[in-house]
Amino acid sequence: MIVDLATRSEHQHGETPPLMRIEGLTVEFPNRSREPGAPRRFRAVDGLSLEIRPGEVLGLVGESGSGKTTVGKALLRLYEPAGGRVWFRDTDITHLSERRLKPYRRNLQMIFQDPLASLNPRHTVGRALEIPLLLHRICKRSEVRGAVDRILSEVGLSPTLRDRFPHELSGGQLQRVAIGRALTLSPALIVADEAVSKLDVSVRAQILNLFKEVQERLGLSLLFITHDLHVARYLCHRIGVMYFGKLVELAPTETLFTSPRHPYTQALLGTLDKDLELAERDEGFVIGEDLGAANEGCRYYNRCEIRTARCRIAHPPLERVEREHDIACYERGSSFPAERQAKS
Amino acid sequence: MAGGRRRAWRRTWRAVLRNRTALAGLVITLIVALGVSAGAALAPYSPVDMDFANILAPPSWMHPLGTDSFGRDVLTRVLYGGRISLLISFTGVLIAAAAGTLAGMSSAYHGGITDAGLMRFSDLLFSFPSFVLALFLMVVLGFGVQNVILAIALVYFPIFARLARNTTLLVKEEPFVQAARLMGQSSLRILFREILPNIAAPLVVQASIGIAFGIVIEAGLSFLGLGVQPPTPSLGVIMADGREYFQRGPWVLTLTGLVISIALLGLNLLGDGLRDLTDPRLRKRAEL
Amino acid sequence: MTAPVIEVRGLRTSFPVEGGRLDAVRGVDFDLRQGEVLGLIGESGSGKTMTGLSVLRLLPEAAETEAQSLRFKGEDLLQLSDEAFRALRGTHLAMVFQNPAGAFNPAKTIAWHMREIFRRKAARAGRSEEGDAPRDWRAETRRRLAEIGIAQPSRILKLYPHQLSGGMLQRVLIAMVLALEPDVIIADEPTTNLDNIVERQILVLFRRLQKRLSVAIMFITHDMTVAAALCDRIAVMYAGEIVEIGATSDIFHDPKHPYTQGLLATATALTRGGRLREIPGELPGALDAPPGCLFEPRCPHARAECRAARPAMRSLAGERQVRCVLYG
Repeated sequence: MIVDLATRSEHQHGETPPLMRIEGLTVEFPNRSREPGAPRRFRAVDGLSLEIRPGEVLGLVGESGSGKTTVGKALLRLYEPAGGRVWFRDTDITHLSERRLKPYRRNLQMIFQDPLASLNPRHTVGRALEIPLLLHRICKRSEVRGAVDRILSEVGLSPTLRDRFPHELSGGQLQRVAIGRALTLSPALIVADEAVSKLDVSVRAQILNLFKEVQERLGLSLLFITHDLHVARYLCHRIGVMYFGKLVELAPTETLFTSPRHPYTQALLGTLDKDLELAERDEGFVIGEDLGAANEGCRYYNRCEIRTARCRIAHPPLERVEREHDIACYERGSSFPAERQAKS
Repeated sequence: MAGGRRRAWRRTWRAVLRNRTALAGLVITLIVALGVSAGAALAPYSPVDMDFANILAPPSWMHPLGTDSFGRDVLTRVLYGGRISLLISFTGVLIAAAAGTLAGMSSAYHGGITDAGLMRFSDLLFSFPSFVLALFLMVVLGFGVQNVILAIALVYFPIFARLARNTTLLVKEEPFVQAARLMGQSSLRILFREILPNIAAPLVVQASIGIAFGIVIEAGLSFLGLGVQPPTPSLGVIMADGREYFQRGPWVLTLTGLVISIALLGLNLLGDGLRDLTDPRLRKRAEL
Repeated sequence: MTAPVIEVRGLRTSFPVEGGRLDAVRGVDFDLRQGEVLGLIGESGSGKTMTGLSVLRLLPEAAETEAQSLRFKGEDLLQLSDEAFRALRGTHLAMVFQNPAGAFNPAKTIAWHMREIFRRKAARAGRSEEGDAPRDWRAETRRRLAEIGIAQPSRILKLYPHQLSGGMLQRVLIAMVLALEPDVIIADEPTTNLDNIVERQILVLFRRLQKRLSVAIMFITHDMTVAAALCDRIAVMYAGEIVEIGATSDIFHDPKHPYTQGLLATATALTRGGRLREIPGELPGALDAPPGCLFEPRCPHARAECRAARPAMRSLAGERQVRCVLYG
């Protein structure tokens, strides 16, 4: 299966135009930190470029604060980009008004992290599914009930849940409803923002399998945002690693796991083996307050083990190091500790 | 879709029954409401016809609250007057709630200058004590029932506007509102279909408390002669009469005041009970 | 074998919900020994958090807790008055919760909080009446903060809780707990909201604490891999009961209870690839708990006898215990 995924993404490259493309995306927020001397605006996403291909699952991995959620929301125009461009197929949707954006809305849907909060507590499950169907005239009022039942079955739920309110359902059931709701519009892209993080481990498997099944059957694209590398590995064809608003590495899944080149990716992968004895030995690893946002150079400078003077001047651009593999590092992360590689 | 709704109503009803404050409030309010609607109609006396033979008669079986300086049955007047006071207060609060909620919601949702402007305007109105503000408005607008309603509406408008605005600010960040945007729902639809049902509870609580104090405002204004004009009874008008003849017939003032207190108590308890009911319910999902 | 620092027998907690009572904890027995890390693993609804809260008496009024015995260092906790218990909590018994903000006074600086810790230590040791912090508490504090990898401790000390990110606050809280050097730490999902890298460092710190000071730690989590890394023994909870308990390596290499097996299969499948095995179904609803085994509806090995009565805990070799009819 792993081999299939790799060849699949290579096969598509250069054949079909990308479904979505972002170029130099920058998203800013007013700075909430009340620390004296902090800058007024905070850049959650800084000059990010990426493309999502039709039918692919692209993973976006990073810690909280990396900007990955912001990328997902900016893609869907829930945030207004401060800079850069967003294309859906051939159209530049970066600054379209809500009215002109409406016809594209059907194609871009999102699954949120907190399944309970993503449904209106005052609406029954049936109503939540009805609204998009009727709003976009996907079916007539008389057919709506049947359509709702069909969607519920499709996501593995009993049609009797139609009359329940969100607070009566479990996390797993709610997320299924959310997925069903997203599917009503037959979108071309679904952004899943930490969609399984709040679910229990046993339910997580169910939902991941549901995502996989739906994605393969309908051939839609999925931007899977997560901090959990394992989950990303299970589902994604390609994975992008973000750090402090910048994309630092982008590669097909297995390539990322077997030969990561950016020091941050290597550090993240290092945490996968939870052998604490090993961890204790490299104690000199200072957490450090991430002043990455403030300085001009590489965002990862403060925590990087292989940094040089050059890294302080400017953040390295994202460059191709081998087929389908991009990284943003001057040193190209050549030193990947051998013992860690053997373990993963 | 009916099954879920019915179950939700039944559950709400059971919760009301269990909460003693809400129950007491509901019962008292219902009694008062019944009294002023049906009671007034069934009263054998007229609220305005004078009976000079019976001036200032103390409470008796014939006249449970006695008669006033014109021989009119005080109970009947109180029932009619109560109805009028309640109607005035209710209408005023309704206008305030509708206008205030609309203003607050759209201000919160769209933000920017309108939001800042609305808040400064509310602050301005807030800076006056409610009765003084009402008084001021009556002086500017003139006397009469319609203006009392308007005054009450203006006094309460900022309260509803602010409440609606603050609750909307919270709700609009919720993922389900973002999901609605992603679905392509227009702002108007989102405000009414997604946000309003979720902010309705505190607004209703505020309304019941508002009606209670609206009665006080109306009574005060009419007492001073600025509101309802005699001989039309309203609680304030009756109390004005009662004050004049207090030495000879103290029951008019005191018993009318008592009735107002009871009505107020009922509405306040109802409001408090509703507040109890609506808040903790949202935090049902215990973390196990 | 040393006497347990905490001994729990027959712990039950329930609280009223619409339509009846919810049994959050249904008769839980365990020992927490000095110098060990006991992991309490379960998903939401398993009762693991409730167990921790019950032991610490941090439940709301409406909750009812009872136990056959609940001892701290031999002392019967059930007999203690609320006041006496509160004196224990925060000096001998420390807690770390998922959301650190609740442990801080928003109107005081971090420095103030650290000083409080030293005060309490002094009071506990009987060194002074109200408890005065030792002269060099600032230097000590800076050392502690640096220990958990904070690069500029002096800067942090001047800040207020709301000025720090959640991750930072959690780290400071843990530094405080480390400085307190309590007998017992009960940690409920302390690293769940933290990033992988930070999480790892905190786990290292817990480990260090355990080794150097022989602190007993009860580590509540839903994350199997975290438990595997840190804990010496593990208790797996499901629907308010402990279904399996034993040494970590034993449980991970040879899980006995079908639920444990399912959990492990899911957790490891993600690391190894291939199709994820699902545990079908959901937890029993709050009020419709079956009379028999609580896991039976989802169990691939269910038999007729499983539905008849709740299985008792069976003791196996090597201090293993399993609550399942498959084992005798």
